[in-house]
Amino acid sequence: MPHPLKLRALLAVAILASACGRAKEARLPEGGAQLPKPILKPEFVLTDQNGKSFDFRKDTEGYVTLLFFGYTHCPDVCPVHMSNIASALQRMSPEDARRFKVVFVTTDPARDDAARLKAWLGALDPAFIGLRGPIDSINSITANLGFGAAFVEDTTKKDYTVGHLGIVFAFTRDNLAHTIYPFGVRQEDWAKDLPRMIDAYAPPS
Amino acid sequence: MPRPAELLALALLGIGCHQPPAVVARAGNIEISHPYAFAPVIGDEGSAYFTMKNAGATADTLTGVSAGKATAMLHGSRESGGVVRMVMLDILPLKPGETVALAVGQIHLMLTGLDPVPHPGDTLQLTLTFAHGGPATLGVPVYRYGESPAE
Repeated sequence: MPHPLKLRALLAVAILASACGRAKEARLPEGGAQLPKPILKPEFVLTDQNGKSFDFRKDTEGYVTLLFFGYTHCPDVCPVHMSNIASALQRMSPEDARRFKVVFVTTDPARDDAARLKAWLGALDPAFIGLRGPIDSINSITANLGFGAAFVEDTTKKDYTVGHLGIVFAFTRDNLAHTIYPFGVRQEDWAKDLPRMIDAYAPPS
Repeated sequence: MPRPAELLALALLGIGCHQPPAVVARAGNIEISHPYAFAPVIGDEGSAYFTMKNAGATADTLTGVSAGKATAMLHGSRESGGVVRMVMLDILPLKPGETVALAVGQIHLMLTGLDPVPHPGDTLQLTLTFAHGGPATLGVPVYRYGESPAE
């Protein structure tokens, strides 16, 4: 088990990082928060939006991998994060954009069936990978990453909401996340950071 | 293609070094500025944001928001263990002199059942109702998620 992260400190760093007058010499995390201890890319197997089994560690090996936990009925944090990443990737050359795997794990498997995931992600970027599985499996993944469980509100209510991590984990090609991106990260920051991730912490070839 | 200096200027504008607000609607002492909304990715669900300033000497309360046929729900958010939960807000008090800015991941207006479904470039009509100031209707420019000037 990785040690629990000092979340408050992290969030404070994240908030500072997005305040006025950012450091000029900032390297990787223009809009993200550098982790005091990198997080190892987790190992789990879930089902993708095409109904195929997806081995997260194996199928993302060698790619810069962005991992996010959210749901498609989410009104703001999820579509903003995913749309910003899609736009930043679109601004890169197709060869560079192909070095990335963007993985969206649903915290609302009851409503986010494969077809819904495929339609929603397809409207943002058809290359995005949507994964689903039992909520307990999803919660054990986030627990292993050092974070809390998704909070599914009363599902009998129409338009129920789901509490989820607001963070994007950015795993570089060394299979470690050195940086996380909280909500509030702007598209310009993604556009600056994503190209740098390709060569940052890359294992020697 | 903007030059680096322009990008920097945009970045500085976007991170809280505020310009004076452009008031788009008033209700009594309440000044409303910086409205924007996001069009649904798919389906009929979007979100909207605006800033409210109580420019008066007495408190007021936002008691309702309507968006045509859509259901408009004001949500706050609560964070615990990195998990962000939405909390339904029935009312939103505004003390004298207080400014409340809705923002992504903070207080936001969740819109469901949008009919017609707005697209980027459209304008959405919102009516905010205040206990003392009464109603104010504003046109809210619609953007693609993440593409508003506030981002």
